[in-house]
Amino acid sequence: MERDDMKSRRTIDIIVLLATILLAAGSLSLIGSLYVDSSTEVFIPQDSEVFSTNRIIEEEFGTLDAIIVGITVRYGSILETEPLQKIVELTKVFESIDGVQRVTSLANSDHISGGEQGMEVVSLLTGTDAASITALQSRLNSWHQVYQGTLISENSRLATVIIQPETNLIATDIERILDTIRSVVASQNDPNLSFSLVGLPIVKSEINRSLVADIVVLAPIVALLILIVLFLSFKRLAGVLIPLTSLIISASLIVGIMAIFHITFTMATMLVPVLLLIVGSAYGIHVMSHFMETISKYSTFIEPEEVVSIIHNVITHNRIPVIMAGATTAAGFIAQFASPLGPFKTFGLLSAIGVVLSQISSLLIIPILLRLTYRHGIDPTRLNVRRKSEKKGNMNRIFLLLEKTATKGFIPLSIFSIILLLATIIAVPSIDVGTNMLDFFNPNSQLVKDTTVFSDRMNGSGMLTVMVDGKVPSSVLDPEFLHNLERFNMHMEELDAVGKVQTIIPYIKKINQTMNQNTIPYAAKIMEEPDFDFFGTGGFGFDSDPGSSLDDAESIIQLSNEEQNSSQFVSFEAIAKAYGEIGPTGKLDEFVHHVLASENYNGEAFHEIPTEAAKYGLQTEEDLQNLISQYLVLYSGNLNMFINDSLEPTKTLITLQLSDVSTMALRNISLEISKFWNRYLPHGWTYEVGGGEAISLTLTDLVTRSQIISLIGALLIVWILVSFMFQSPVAGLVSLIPVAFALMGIFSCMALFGIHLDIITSLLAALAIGIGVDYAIHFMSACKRLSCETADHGLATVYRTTGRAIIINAASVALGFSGLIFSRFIPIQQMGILFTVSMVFSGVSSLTVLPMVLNRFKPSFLGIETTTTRRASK
Amino acid sequence: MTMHHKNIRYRVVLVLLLAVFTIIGLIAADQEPTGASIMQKVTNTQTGTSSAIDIRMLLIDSKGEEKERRIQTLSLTDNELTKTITVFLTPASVRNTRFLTIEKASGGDDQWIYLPALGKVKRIAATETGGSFMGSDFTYADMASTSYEAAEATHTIVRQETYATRPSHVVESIPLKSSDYGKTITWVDSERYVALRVEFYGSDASTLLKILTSESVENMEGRWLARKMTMQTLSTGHRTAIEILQAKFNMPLNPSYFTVSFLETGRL
Repeated sequence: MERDDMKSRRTIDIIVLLATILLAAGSLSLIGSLYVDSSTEVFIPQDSEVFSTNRIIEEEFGTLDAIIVGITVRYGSILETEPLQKIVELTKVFESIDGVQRVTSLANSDHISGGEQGMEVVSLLTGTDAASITALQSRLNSWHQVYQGTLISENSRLATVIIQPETNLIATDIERILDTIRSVVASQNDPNLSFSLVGLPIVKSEINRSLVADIVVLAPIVALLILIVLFLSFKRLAGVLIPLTSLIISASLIVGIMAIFHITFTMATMLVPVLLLIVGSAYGIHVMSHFMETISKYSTFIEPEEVVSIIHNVITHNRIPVIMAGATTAAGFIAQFASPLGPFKTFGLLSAIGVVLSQISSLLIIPILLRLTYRHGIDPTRLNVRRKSEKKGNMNRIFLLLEKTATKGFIPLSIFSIILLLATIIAVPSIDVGTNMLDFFNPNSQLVKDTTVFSDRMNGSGMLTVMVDGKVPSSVLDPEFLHNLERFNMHMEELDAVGKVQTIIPYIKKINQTMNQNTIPYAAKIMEEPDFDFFGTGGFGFDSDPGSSLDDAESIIQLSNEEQNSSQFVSFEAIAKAYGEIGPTGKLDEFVHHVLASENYNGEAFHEIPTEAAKYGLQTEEDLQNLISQYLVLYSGNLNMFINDSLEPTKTLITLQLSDVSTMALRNISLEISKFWNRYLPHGWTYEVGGGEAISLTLTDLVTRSQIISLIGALLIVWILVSFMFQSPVAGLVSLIPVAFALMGIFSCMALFGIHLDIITSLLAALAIGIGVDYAIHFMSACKRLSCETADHGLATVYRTTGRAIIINAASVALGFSGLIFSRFIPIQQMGILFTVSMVFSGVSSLTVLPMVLNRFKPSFLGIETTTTRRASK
Repeated sequence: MTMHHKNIRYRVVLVLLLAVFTIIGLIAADQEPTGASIMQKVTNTQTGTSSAIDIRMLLIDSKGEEKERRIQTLSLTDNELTKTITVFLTPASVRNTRFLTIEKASGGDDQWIYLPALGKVKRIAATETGGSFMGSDFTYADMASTSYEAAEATHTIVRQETYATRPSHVVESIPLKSSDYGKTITWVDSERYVALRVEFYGSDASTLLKILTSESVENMEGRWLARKMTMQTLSTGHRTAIEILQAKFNMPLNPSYFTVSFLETGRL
């Protein structure tokens, strides 16, 4: 009968195990269908202001994020036949990629110049022969404000091909475009040319590519480390394999849940399976060590039936501790749910589910595996008891030291704690906050190198945009506004972090100049013309003409205002005047401009935003505004990245190219932007800041908020849980001692090693709370349990039993997390280091400072006084 | 004397031969249209000796917001060379801006613009014709013609099909000289020779950039004409709807319109 029972139980065990393994394998096979999004955008709520600004900018001005291909010559200059031919070829190839909206390079840009009688719009590059290159050189110099640092570097060694994808493309389209560009670039084999790829889409794509690859590497490394811990703890194959199997099952199930519920695989959620391997190992260790301890007490062969009952007892005894430890860890994860960052919420929820899965797995799968492994019974003589006791001796020395520290070390421990606290308080403000995606990569990686070179030689690859909305048609062509826009341009370019400010200004100035060559002064007053209509009479010039309603006096327009320059020589007077205007510190090109302007050579006097109506023979500001609108008729087709309508724009876009995108630089720039426009923007107008770096800045603020919220949340939940458990709010506070040390360790390390608080490292604090508090709970409950029995030697007993478990637990978690240093991403590496540090701090403090406090203050929740009173009354 | 007679005789023979070839050519063309002959007919339908067109353009963005532009054009064709004057009526800021284009026998155009706020005529030279016309989905080149002339491209009939209830030739045109487009495919009404739909491809001849569709094909002044056309740019979702409000063709037109003087003064 009993044998039948055993048999049927074994059958059920096998079925449950096989079903679980199948489920886990099925879940793991879904890894390929995970939707990966590495972008930092996914962290920001979709309804945030920066997103709506960026959406408007994309709709009205085209795409924001450009892919930039840099072409550098090793010897010579870009302005030679071969490099130019290559730029022409690449421009054509990139233009033909499906999904590319616009490609801009030296090869396909238009150039505006003043011709003999008016304006000429010509191709910047007309050919690659010597004469065309000379012409190109002169065009580039004549309008360096527009070309230099954008299409070609100052030293002419680096040129760019700027590729803008269509808006509304999905991630796979962008990836396809990038792949094509990468393969085109890779197939180039001119030894004199080197190629670089920069821009936000490239950075995002590199992260995406590495994200899945990273977890594929990290998970086995972490598993191996846990394997080492398990082996050191149990020294038996079964002791290693059984907990590991249960861990792998729960981690695989989480991957399956992510795939089935289409949970985006982000920088945060990718950590969940790895974290579960580490955190979940504790539960398996508890169950396994109890099992091993129980069987080590046997000296004779244990029958299979006996093994089953031992397993049953172990599970019954461990159910509550495992569930409570899991609950506090889950609390740390759940605290992320209060974060304003979407993926953090998902991360919190997933991890909490994962912790529950790990618990179930430990309490369900481990016993099954144990029953199946030891189905033939156990021979305890094969356990090496002697070696174990030797090791116990070593451990005992450590425990004695710890006990001595806890009972006699009040003063040194207090001093150390106060110093650490002060150090943390001083250090916290110096922690840099900021999530710059480029900082995720190793400084020696190609991407970081390329971007650095680009920032040095060109105007930088960071982008911040300012969209000014004047609300009514043509408002942003108001000369006074344009004048202020030019001042803004100059002011911002003075900032170190700003490489260049791109606006519509150089285009308007250039057209104004070319349209006013050889024309001084405007003598005639321009008369209103009637509404024109060729169809008005139907005679088409043979009955009456459409202009006949104008009387003669009105229709006279001075035709003789096209005068030749009076002199081809520059007078000393002009030089002296120009010097007087710009002073001794002026730049050469400004001086030349003033000299040429004095003679209106090539229309130089009109290389300006027209602000004086009289100078143009006009009367009102509105006339000037119309003049600018009319200029746009000539060239507006090419200006849609600056204005939202080709003739009567309501909005204009200003693009700041940044060479420094650190949070401090961004904050400073953003402050300067608001200071300027708050002062100079007309009433009723608005401005908004957008662009890739605006997202970084928003994210930085959210990360800080998230950190504070999740920290408070985790502390609160843990405090409530522990208070409830010990039915004492003081117990809740005492349990936070190891947690406080973990946090102090984390924050002082961040300050010490210059680790940024970013989207990854900010996850850490709440988790450290959830995991760290476990040690306090273990220790405090052991104290409470034992203080009732042997008050005097309670501490020593607690060290020997629970202390040992805490050391193994903290060591395994710390070692597991140290595996994260093998990540390709710097923040994940840093997270590994910080977590290890925090486990050391919370582990050590829970064995020194916590017992010291308990020993010295003997809080009532431990029941020590009650025991003493009871004894006294005896 | 003999020489003269001989010359005359040769000329007569030459003219006769030419006539015969032309007739054979025409019969052949009639019997079996070629891509080129179809596109030539489209061009012939579009152009006359003179025209006056009053156009309303609606610029429609991807969200459906509309902006109106109104222009009138006069054109005069002499010796296959066309002169065009375009006057902008709205928006108000560019009212009375006038644009004169004179096609040159040597190829290319001479262009002048009159900006009323500047009060002056300026010559403009643009080698680039691919820029947007007044922010629309039409380029300056599209405004002149949306199909390649017979001699400008290699035209191939791809197939015959019914397009929007009309029997159509589908003609693929690949320009001989480098152009804004690498290829166009035109659906030509095989009875009326009006382009019903044109697909514009990028320089790789495979990326579809824009689609022009004709609506309301009507017989105006004895010729078939699409009264409404919509050009859509696929990458942006932006559309431009053109509506011909009034049109006159082959009427007497004072050549003085096509002078810098008219451009500058607005007077003949």
